[in-house]
Amino acid sequence: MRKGKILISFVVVLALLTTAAGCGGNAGTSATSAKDTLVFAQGADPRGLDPALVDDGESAKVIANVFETLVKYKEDSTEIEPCLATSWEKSADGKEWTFKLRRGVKFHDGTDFDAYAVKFTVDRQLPPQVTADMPYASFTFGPVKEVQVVDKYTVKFILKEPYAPFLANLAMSLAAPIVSPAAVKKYGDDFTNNPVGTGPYKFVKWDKGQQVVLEANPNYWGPQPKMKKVVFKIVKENSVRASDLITGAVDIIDGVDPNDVAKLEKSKMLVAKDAGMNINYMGFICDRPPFNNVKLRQAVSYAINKEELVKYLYKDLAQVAPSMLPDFIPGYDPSLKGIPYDPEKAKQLLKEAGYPNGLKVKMITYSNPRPYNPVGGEKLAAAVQAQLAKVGIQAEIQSYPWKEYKDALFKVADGAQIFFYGWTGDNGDPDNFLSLLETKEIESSLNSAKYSNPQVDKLLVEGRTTLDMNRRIEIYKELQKIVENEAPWVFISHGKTLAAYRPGVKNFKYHPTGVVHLWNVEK
Amino acid sequence: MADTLLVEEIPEKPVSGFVDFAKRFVRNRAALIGFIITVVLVIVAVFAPVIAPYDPYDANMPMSLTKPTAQHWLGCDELGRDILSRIIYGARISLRVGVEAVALALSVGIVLGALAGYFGGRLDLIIMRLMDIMLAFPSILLAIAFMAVLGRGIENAIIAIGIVSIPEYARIVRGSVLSVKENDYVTAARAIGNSDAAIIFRHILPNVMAPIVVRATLGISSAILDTAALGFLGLGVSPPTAEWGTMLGAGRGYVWDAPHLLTFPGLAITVTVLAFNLMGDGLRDALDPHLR
Repeated sequence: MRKGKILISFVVVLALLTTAAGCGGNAGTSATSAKDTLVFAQGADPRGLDPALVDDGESAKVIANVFETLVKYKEDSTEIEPCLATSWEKSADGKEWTFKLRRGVKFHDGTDFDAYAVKFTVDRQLPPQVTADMPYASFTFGPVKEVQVVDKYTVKFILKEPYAPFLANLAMSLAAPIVSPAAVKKYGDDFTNNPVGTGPYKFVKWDKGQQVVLEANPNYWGPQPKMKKVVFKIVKENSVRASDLITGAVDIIDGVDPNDVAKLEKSKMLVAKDAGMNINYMGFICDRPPFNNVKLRQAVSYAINKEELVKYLYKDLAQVAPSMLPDFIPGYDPSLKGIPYDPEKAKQLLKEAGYPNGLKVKMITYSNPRPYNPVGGEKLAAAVQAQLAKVGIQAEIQSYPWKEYKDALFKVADGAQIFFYGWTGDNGDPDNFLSLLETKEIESSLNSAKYSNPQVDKLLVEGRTTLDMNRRIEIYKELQKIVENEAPWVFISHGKTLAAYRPGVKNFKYHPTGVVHLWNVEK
Repeated sequence: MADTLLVEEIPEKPVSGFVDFAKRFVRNRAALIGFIITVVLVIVAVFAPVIAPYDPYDANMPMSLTKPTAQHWLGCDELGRDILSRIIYGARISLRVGVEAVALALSVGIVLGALAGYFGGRLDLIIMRLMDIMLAFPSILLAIAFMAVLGRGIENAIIAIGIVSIPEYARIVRGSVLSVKENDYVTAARAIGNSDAAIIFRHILPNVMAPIVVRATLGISSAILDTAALGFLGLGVSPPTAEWGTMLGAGRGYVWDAPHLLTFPGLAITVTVLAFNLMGDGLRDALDPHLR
């Protein structure tokens, strides 16, 4: 054991030295980015670049520029339009979807895009090929029974049952992007470091922890991208990212710290503040004591003053979240107010739950800023810790780097009982948010609260197999009432998407799905 | 001739070593200031609950980022906690880690250094090469590695910082032991049948204490600095504990809006480290026989 620890410390030291050396090398690059290169700075490294293997926004942003999907969202909404598929139709029972594919499209490796590539992309995420590290496989392709190649440019999806969000799912930047079968076979597990798609930009290199470099795809089927080169630069510190933007070292940044907005605007930078399709929440690990007790979950919920968090921590650059759904998503119910701040009620519920003298809880959080939480998980946790202290709950905070956090959360590391997390919507469908509480998503790690309620599961199935939107909305309203009372999460806020760019940058838009489409952006 | 000169040099009233030392220490203005600041810091740390105007953990969000006012002399941090109170409580952590880490390093370092210096040979080789390996890494890097393995917390910070400063003490002690172990009084002690342990601890160590005390005083200041560095990097104490480096780290995002979040904890670190350094320098001057 001790030997192991010594060895670990030794390895850590070596790793640190290596990193330090790497940083030193980076300092030599020029201060301002070149004219034909667009530099986009983000807060964390992508987890990977294989669309099948990732579920985080940092990866999705890069993937959205390298890969394409059968259908895509319009530039500023989640409405669907053609992309790699030129047209489609569904059968009367909603179980068969036939897509006509675009001809003459080539992957970056020169191979043809065709119906076989579509089948390959989906099949690798369906049983029996699907593996445990494909977090979106069941979410996106769960309802798919099989994919049939009708001819080289026609592909047919057979669903197990009618599935309302299906078309919207196919436009997502995770799981759905069509990959080059040849490249996946060539690179195997290393495809995640060597992504090959059909997108307007193609992958050049990824210096881990520093940058991902893309270049224009000269054989792109659509209009040529505006910039020759796009660099996703990893700049961990909010304030450093902001000053990099002001000095011109980078052209666009996201994850802008609310505290930096005033300064950026004063420096003539443009700050985009768009309602974000996201939810910033605090969750309880619901499948074990003490938070398998609904009363205790409610007690803690009553102790959280969301208004204060939004006003002072986020400087009003977020909206208080009364429920899971942002207000522009179908199914949002304005009559739901959420659990209000009421410390007296919290104390009383604590007593009823069997903790008259307060309790100690362990919280885990992430260390970096997220689109739904621009000040970072540690500050949010510290603020919540202080609020909980006022009702006699002592919280201990353990924080993880983002890359390790998901795994720590899934394994409930350190005996965690409360966790901070968030969700950026993928497709604009209410099911995309609400199914995060479905029992079957516990195993896929998406249901991180490990919450399970047969009634919720039943309503979710009903909602997604019903094709009439109005009927679906009624179902989702009922579901949200149950969730509010059961309190598996404390809904904190919907973060406005804060991105900032230099005055010369044109056509930059942050897509509601939390990705950036950089091919129309120029400077 | 020589004899008469010698007689003349002997002071008329023989003064005790301590009085002589105290006189020379007090005469050193900088050292005295360092000493006074240190005493004040210790008092502040010990009586923190009495002195601090507010509860350092009481977050009052509507007051977040308040600039210094009559109510909050040093302003409030991002969660609306009183910065002055947090700095006062932070003195407890810094001094505690500083003193305890040095105590840990000192006790292990003295034993290792004395063993290596006194026995020499293979034992010396093994111990000192081990120390050399530790010295090959920047101490803060090593401390980060230890913290990564041990996890956050004051005790772990003490252990991490203590361990990484062992080699310095081991080296000094070994050098001092080497320089005195061939002296006649050591030989005499051995001749009358003292055990090795008795010789080391009763005869050698008391005679090499001066450089160790000086090094330890300066060591406290670097331990305080290391604590702050760990805290700044988010590896020190766990929140919400008020610790200067952690305060600095949490405040760095507000450098444009609310620079007081950084200024005051930064000043606290600077003043404390300076005080210990001045005091250490003064001690060295006062204890150094060459300057007598």
